[in-house]
Amino acid sequence: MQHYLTQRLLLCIPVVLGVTVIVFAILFLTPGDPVRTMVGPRASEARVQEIRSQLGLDHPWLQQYGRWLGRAMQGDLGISIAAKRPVAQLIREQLPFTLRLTLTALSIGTLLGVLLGVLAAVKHNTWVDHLITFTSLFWFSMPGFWLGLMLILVFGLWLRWTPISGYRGSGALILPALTLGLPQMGSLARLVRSEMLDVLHEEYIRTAHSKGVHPTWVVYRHALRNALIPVTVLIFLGLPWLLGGAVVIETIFAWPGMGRLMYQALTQKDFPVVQGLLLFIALATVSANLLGDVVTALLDPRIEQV
Amino acid sequence: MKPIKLITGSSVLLAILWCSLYLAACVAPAAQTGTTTDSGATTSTRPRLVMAIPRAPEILDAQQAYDGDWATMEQIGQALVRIDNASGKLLPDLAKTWAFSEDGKQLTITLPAGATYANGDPLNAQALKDAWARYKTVSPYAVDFEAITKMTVVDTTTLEATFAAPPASLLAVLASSFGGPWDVAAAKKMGDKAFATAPIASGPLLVKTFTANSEVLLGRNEHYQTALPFVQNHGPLHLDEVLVRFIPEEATLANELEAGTVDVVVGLPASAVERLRANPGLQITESALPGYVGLVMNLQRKPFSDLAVRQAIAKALDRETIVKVLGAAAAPQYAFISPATIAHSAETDTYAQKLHPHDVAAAKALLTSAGWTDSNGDGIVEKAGAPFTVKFLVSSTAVDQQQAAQVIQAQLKAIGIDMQISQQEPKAMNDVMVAGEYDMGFDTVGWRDPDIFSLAFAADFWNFPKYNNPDAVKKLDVARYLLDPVARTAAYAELQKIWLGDVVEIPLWQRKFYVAARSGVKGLVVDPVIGQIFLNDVTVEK
Repeated sequence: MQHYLTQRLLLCIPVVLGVTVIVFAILFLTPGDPVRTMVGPRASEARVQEIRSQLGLDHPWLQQYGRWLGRAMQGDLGISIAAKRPVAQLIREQLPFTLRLTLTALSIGTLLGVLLGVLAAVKHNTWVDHLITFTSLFWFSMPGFWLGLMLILVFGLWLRWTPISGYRGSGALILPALTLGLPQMGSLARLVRSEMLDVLHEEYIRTAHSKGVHPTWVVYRHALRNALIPVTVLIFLGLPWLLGGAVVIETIFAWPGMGRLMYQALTQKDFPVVQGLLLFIALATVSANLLGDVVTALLDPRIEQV
Repeated sequence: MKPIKLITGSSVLLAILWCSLYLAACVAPAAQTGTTTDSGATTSTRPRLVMAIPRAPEILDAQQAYDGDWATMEQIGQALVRIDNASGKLLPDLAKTWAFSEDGKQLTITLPAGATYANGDPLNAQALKDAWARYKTVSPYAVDFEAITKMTVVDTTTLEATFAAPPASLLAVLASSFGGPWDVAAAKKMGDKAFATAPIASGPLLVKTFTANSEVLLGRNEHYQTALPFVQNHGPLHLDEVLVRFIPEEATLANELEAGTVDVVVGLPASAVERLRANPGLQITESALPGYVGLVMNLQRKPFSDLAVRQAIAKALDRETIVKVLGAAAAPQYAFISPATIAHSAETDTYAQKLHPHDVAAAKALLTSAGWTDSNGDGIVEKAGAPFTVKFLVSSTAVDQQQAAQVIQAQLKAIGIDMQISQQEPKAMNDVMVAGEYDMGFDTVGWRDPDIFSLAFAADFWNFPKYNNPDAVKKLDVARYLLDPVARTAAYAELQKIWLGDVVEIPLWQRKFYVAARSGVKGLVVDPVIGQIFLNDVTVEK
């Protein structure tokens, strides 16, 4: 296991480095002058050049990249052009909000998705199976933007059961977490159903039944553990996607997370923030993948030998 | 296939890791400054007003910010004076008195005795001098104060500023929190980075907590004083606190107002106006943002270098149809200076409307006179074998521009111009226009003072049409220094006639601005021209 873990860790390094190079290069290729944005349109060209020089933006991009990478490894991601505060501080402030939202959504999606998927597989070809399949597809296909607005209308405005937006109040997390978690639930339910159907037809399952093992025990103790391997991978792959992709949900619900921070930084060409966030998301993705690999290896030790 | 043994310990470890992550995320984020305190409410009113705005400010310190808003920066900072929309004359806010010397190059400002910042620091002539000096070093708009050649503290409350030329264009800055005093001593102690989101000034409110991209909680400034003539209360607000929430999604903003969880919306989306106007529990005030959205052409590029072509395009456009599509978001504008801009002239509006009326036949005739004809009957005019095809730049984030572009495309097609719409990210579009690498597009010109046109139509940078008229530049250099409002209005009226005649740009619409408040909010003063809000007399019924 140690060898497997070391191997996976070493593979992460070139991946992260590659991402940082691409991110740095893309930002330099896109049009727009961030220094002019900083100093305003009425500043003289001499002032623009002075600021450019101060920030080291007149050096070759490879040199700039090296300097940035060196500072990033010490936790210094630069200063936001728009907010004039350290990027690391901005990420630190917004990260707890995003984590709360994504972990809650992932929990909802995972728990409900697994339960419904198992139920659909066990009740294969009955009305329960058809209903779960239909609703899974429904939630999976639902655009997040529309779902969020409908939930606000029904539960926030008409029924007044939950706050409409913001992070204050005990129920503030419910609607955004549902908006993010229900499509996840739909996708997981379909996958779990499919995997369970494959496993439930295996010989050892038939053997367990014929030995008189309780059906519930057969499903959860024997079948589900094998079906969970690809599901586990999907769950861990979904986490970084939720971290960076919740921008629409965060905007609708005025949730102060990293998605909104990224959107604002992109529209304002606040490149230190964009670079810092992309680096963070890359690290989170690699870590989540690594964690997924470890859990999968724990579930199926044969994977270590591949 | 053999059953796989589940390692129970690992699943327990995983569960612990998951819960740890979740608990870490659930720890309430640390507020940036101070703590929230709720004071007791009276029997019929409550102490806190909840406002919502669509855009989250990154910086609350006007001296470091790129732009401001009525709900946060203008409540934390304080202007020295205000401008009366009708007469153009100055009204007092923080400043007790002010006077220009005869040649207009010296401005003497007297502050009220004993004035302090919100934290009790003295707000005297020296403090004001320090604030203006700081503005020149940290602000993206430092050039506003570059005309100051000397500042002299005459006595504790009196500052005398000497300018290279009469600072007429500076008045709009002095009439906002940008030109007002911000506590430099506190900024030095805290550092600019911390001061950016927890600034200290002399406005009616001060920052208690700031959560980026979410909200700012403002508390009453007990040291606040003002001489504003149009409010009853000239001391600290009746309100204890104002919570300003940043809600970017239009539908969510409107829903919060309807649900009553937000008391005031500053910048209500136009899409919600018609629906909410019918709600008897809401009061909606309409005003306009300074400036206009107009069609800009690259005058250095053919065929736009030909005046006849520009005149033809001006006559082909029907503003009424364009504005109909935009609904409550816009009103037609013909002249360059809108009612929300200083030196506005209704007479010039009428002149502009009559100069290039919508007339498709006349537009076609002008194109023909310029050598453009449809020789092959495909509906697009050509000259020397080349069809009249243009690329039209539209901001990818401005919904009004995207809607209007399609109407303009049809209107230009009617006179034989093939317009291809190209959506671009705003900053990128800006850079392309600065570089002069475009045909046509939208230009948004907006500032309270018409001196903005010295940038828009004269300077090297930001002169999108690449207009070069030395005579107009000379007149601009005279107009920007005229302190007398009547003379200034006349000077800019003359300039507008030159720009309209040259068809430098084609103003199309002014953007409307809406402030909505629940009927339980009493005493809210909203400037009917520019939409600025004043909370001095506000109480909120329970």
